[in-house]
Amino acid sequence: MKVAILGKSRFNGILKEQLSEEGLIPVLFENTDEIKSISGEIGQFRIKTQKETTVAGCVIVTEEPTEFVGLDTIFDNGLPVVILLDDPEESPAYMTEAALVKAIKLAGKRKKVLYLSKFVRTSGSGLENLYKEARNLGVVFVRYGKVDINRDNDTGIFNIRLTDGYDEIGIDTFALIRAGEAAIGSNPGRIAKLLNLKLDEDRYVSGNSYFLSPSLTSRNGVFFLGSTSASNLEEEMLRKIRFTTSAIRAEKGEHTEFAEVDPGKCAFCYTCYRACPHAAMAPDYENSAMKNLNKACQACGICVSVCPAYAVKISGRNVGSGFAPNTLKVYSCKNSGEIALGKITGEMADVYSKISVSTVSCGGEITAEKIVDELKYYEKVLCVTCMDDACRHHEGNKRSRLQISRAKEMLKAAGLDENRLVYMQVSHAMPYILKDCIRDLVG
Amino acid sequence: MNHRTLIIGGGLAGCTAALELANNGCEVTILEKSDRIGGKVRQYGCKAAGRCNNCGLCLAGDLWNQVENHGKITIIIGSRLIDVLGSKGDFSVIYKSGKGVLSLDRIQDIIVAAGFEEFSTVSSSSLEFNTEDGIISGHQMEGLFSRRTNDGIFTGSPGSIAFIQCLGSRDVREKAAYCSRVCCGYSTRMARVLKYYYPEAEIVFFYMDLQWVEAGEYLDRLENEGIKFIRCRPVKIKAGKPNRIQFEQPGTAAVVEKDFDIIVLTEGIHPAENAERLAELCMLKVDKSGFLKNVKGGEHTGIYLAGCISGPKRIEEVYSESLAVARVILGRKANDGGSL
Repeated sequence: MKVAILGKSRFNGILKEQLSEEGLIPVLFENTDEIKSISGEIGQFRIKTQKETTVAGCVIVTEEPTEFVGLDTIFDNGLPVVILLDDPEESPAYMTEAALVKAIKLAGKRKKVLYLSKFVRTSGSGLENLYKEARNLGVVFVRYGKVDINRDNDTGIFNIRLTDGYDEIGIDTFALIRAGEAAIGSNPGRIAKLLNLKLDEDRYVSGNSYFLSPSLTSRNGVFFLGSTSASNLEEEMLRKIRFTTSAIRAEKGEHTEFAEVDPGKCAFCYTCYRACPHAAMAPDYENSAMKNLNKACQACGICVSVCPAYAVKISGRNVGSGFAPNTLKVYSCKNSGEIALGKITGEMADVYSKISVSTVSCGGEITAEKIVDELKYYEKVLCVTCMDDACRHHEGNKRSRLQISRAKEMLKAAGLDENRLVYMQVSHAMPYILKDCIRDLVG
Repeated sequence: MNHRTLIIGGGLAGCTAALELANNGCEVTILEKSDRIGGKVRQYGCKAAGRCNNCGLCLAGDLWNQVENHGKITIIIGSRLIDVLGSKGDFSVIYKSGKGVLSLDRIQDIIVAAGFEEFSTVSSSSLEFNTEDGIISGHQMEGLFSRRTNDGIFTGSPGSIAFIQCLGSRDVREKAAYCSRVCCGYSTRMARVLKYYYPEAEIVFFYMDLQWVEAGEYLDRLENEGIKFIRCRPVKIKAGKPNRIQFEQPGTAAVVEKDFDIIVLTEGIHPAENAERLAELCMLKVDKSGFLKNVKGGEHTGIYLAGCISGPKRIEEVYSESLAVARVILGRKANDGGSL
């Protein structure tokens, strides 16, 4: 798979090296002004320059910003550095550590640091020590309920107003590090327009996790390296590059389920094109039919339901073929059923071909509709959850029991045998009970 | 340099600590004397009877698989500790395994988690534990529980079952004046499971006092379920078919004989067989019952104790203690600025 790198950066060399190691082919576009247009979606971006057209699976923007809120340049003026979390929406918990490390690094350079967050997170090991270290270095922690940020365009000062429901405080700063923003290169508007990215105030690409997964954008397959706030540039860039390559590697994997269009039936009406929330349908002019972009498709099935010509189906799922006798679908809960099954795998080798096991994190996840749907493909369905009082997810086993009884009612109403559905509660240390039950069911 | 921790003993305590350390980037080596990790807890069975009885076994869950497949954990099976050299922050350890006498260098911390012995394995008394005769030790009972099927625990259905409490605990003759703390818990849970499978069976407890059970409504509930409690220590146990127990009827001076199909001897926790040797090697103190104690905290010596090596503990206590030990090590590592 080709990966397009847009923009000039000191780190392009390292990035190319890392991508090649992953077995990807990096294509460099140093001068972004040469690019005329970028079309397509993940898996098939078509990048047009004056000379040629390149098809790439993913796009990484490395263009470094020429002007950004510099933490090094306008610094020693007495104003604090502000690290803002949980804005505009709740930041993921893992960002706390990155934010704390950042605060400690800045505070170690004798900067005043304010750490604003809506929630104080202490879960996760080692965080207590980070909090302690940050406090010792004089980082001020402020919890807020609501935040309002205005930027004075003449002076470049951010005015932050915080309320916690009782008091209101105002903070002025030049240096605002926000969880969800990163600045883009010298001509942000142009690249953003090319890639159809959303910009805030014509400066920032909106992402959602600047600290830890900093290169994700709102678009699938478009990554954005940008630059960092200079203090620990190399380290942070390397982290970003590692994250990006691993994310692309994940994209490279084969999708097993996706929508398929039968060109013979397709009326080329664009209905699926308009309905698809993942932009996975594209016109295929050669066949005069729509085609599916497998990489972008999430197999949600909306296209199947809207197609007026019944031309779309989800591949990898055979509908209406009827079930084979003595086949069993097992839904097992992660805390008990999965571990118990692991203990008896060796003893059930002879019946394993008849069983299909799905692991759910909690029995509460199972719904009656899901079970009844499975009965199309399997003769019997077995749901295994924890014992009463042993559920770790607030009585998910009781919820699953309700769903099972609902499903049984649905079966009864449809005139089907309700014994095709079996529910049992085990603990992970009772594998033999489970084994007996499965052997009974598959005969 | 990577932070490296040696754990002596791969039971619940050792594996819990190992996983916590390894998940936070430490290199961990486990010395295990038997041929697989898991120790005694791995052989235990779930004690749920219709609903969860809070035996704590679920805390172990998938632990063994996770530890066995973790990239940062090295397990040396069939090994025996020979000597510990060096001091805090830089230990060298010599051990013997199937490959001969080898050494491990540059170890920052040592966790001693060598566990305990069940009374039936160290007992010198003439009682023979035999599942076929129906005299069963607590440990054998656990084995039966772990293999339980839909039909129950035993092959037939027993008519009467006796539990004899405090075997090898609170007994100066057996050098165990202490309470083993876990036996009341596991035996009453077992009794509830037996009552669940065999509601017709008569279940009788012979006890001195029920330390962990007497508090609260638990005992009332057991009695309501039809489990009988007789406060006395049996005079004699005669093996045979059926097994016969001679005991003094409380309140009278009469010695009564009663027949039981199955007698469960609720055995207690005794110190690990190599506890004294470990104390010598790691410079630890042996208390008067034979359990190990720290002379100085692990923060000063680099040697930590986890699990039943330092006294009888329940599963959840061992679990939380081992996690705490691992986190102390991780905290110290963070303070030292050790690289993750």
